[in-house]
Order: sequence, then C-alpha cells, then structure tokens
Amino acid sequence: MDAFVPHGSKLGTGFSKAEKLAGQAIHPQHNASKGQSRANWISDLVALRKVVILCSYCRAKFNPRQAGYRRVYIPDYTGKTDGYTVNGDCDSCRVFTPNAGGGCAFQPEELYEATHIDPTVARRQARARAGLKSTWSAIKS
Amino acid sequence: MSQEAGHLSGGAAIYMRYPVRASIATAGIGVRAVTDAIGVAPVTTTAAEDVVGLGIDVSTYTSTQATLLADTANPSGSYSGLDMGRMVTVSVRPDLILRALLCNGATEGTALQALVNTSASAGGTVVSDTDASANDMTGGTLWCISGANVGHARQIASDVASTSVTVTVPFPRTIAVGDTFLEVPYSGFGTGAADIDGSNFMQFTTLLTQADASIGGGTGQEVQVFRLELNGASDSKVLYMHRQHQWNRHTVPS
Repeated sequence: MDAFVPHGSKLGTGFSKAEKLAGQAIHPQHNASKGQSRANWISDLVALRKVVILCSYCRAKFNPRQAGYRRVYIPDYTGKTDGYTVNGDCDSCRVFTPNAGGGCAFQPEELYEATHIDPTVARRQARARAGLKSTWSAIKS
Repeated sequence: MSQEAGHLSGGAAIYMRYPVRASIATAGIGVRAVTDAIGVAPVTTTAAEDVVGLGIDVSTYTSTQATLLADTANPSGSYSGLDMGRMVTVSVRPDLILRALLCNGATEGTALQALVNTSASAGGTVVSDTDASANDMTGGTLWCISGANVGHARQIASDVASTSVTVTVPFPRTIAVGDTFLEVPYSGFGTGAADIDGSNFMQFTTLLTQADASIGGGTGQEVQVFRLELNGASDSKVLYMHRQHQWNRHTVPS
C-alpha cells in the first residue's frame, strides 16, 4: 500500500480500509502538458467498452449512439433527480461533476440490461401492476 | 446480474473506477476489497464483506505489460492513462438498492419450484407438497400464484422439509387442493435472529448474477432485503442492499 497514500490523512495515524480504497481510485489521467488528449482518453474507454462519465458541459460533445452507448438511468424514489444523473470525475474535463452542473454516465449497449433498468419497461410494468392501461390501449378502447 | 434499482436516500449515483486484482467477467456483480492488496475483485456466492459497490463494466485482469499497452486504441501507441492496470467502474454509494432475479438453485435461470397444495387448509395457514424445500425456509416468504389467494403473500412461520409450509397470519381464503404457491427464503422483515433471518442474508448463483432462492433462510452473504417483487416462477426479483459495504463502516475499520 505504500504507493497509495490517501490525501488528507496524517502520517502515523494509519489508514482505514475506506481511506486505502479511496487512495486507489483511478481518475481520468489525460494531461495536456504530457501530450495526452482528453479525446484519446475517451476513445480508449470506448474501445475498452468502459462506462463514460461526463459533466453537463462536456456531455454534448459525446455522441452515444455513434459509439454504441446508452445513457444510464437509475430510478430516484425521492425525485431529487430525473434518474439520469450520475456523478463522478468527468472523463473530458476531469472536474467532479457536482461542481459542473451534475453529470451523467453512458454505458455500452451490450452491458446496459445487466446493470440498469430500462425506464420504458419499468414504467410499463408499474402501470400494469397498478392495473392501468397503457396509453395505446386507452386510445384504442 | 444485479441492476441498480435506486438509492435509499435518493439522489444521483456516484461512479468511481478502481484497478482490478482479479477478472470481473460479468457486469452487474458486486466487487470488494478485502485485504491490503491493491485493487478490487468480485464477491463470492456467500461472502460480500467489505464490498465496494456494484461493478458496472467488465475487466480481465492482467499483469502483462504488452497486453496493457495493447489495450489502448490510441494510434500513437502511447500509454494513454491506464497507468494502474485494468480497471472497473463501480457504483459506490452504500445505500444503493440492487435488484436480482430469484433463481431456484446455483444454476442461473432455474425457475422457482411451484408448490401445488395436496391437502386443503380451511384456516389458510398450511401449504402441503412434497416439493416443499428440504432447506429451512422459516423467515422467508410464501405467496400464491394460482387459487383463491392469488396475489397474497405471507411470512413463513415454520416448515417441514419436503412436506409443508406454515404461516402464522392466515391467507384470507381457504387453501384448496391444487392451489399453487411459491416460496423463497427472503423477506422484508426480521432481525437476523433464528427464524426471522430472511431479511438479512442472501446467496448468489454460481456466476453471481442471480439470487439463489433454494438455500435455507439465514445463510449466505450479509445483505438487507429491501423489497420483493413477487411475480411468477421465472420473473420474481429481490431488492437488497449490502450491509457490509466498505464505506458503511459496518465492520471495524482496519
């Protein structure tokens, strides 16, 4: 663990498991001064079929359909978010997304169903459980 | 696979990336860091202490430099950022609610065993069938999918292996011969003590993608069952949270 000294901890106090884990977190590692571009970082993620996290400013620069990606949806019972908000380090500008208008995540289409709920399916199932007709059924009847 | 079904406190998910120290072959399985070794690894079917969260993508572990270099699509061939080896994206909030399909056994995709009642119960408390689980399902949940009680569920008070299942709070109507029920060892209620432990433990299938509902109640890894989505034998789900999350400080930090 010598290589991973968490920020903000005092020497000699030791580190908790959580602090050690925080010290291992990988942040976007492109650095313009070293000749690394943010486009390369994101294209690497896409090539490896990794999740891409973007802030509200950088989100428009990424075309998920072109890359075979889909925006992540997680139900929010409290209504604090619309369900499409995911925070983390922006893979483009490296800012922690809560400080940049909130973030969102894009996941490869082939992995989406394994980890996330399709909001359309969720809505249809919820309506079925509640005994409600679908919009289309209501129009037809 | 476990799906992200929301957060108990609401709000947005937080995704972080960690290096892996073992291959993570499937998206949607828990990952954990149990030792001082660098990196995270998948949970096991029965152990999820110090879980870090839900792995959102996949990663094959390697310590071969040439293989890591070949990962990058960068035409210049530069080592463009993956300086800590291969990594996985993890949804890290400790209050993450996960949703997993219920499966009858360690093999993925096995439908739950239907219990077809063989002896009428006028009081609505006993379901008899030799297909009843041989394992202890006390503290779990029994629900009706065919018969006069369809749509009703009750917590299992006791059971006799391969013979019958008994509930304390009766079903509203007589349980007739031929009525069909399903049972699982999970429940939204309980303290973890014997016979009321259906809410506190869960076991995964071999590939870690579904919940093994054939096990006895109170066995498996420590979770908190949040809710059950009781449907049919092939499409019922359990919603749960990890109790021993790394950032929950459930265990003594070390």
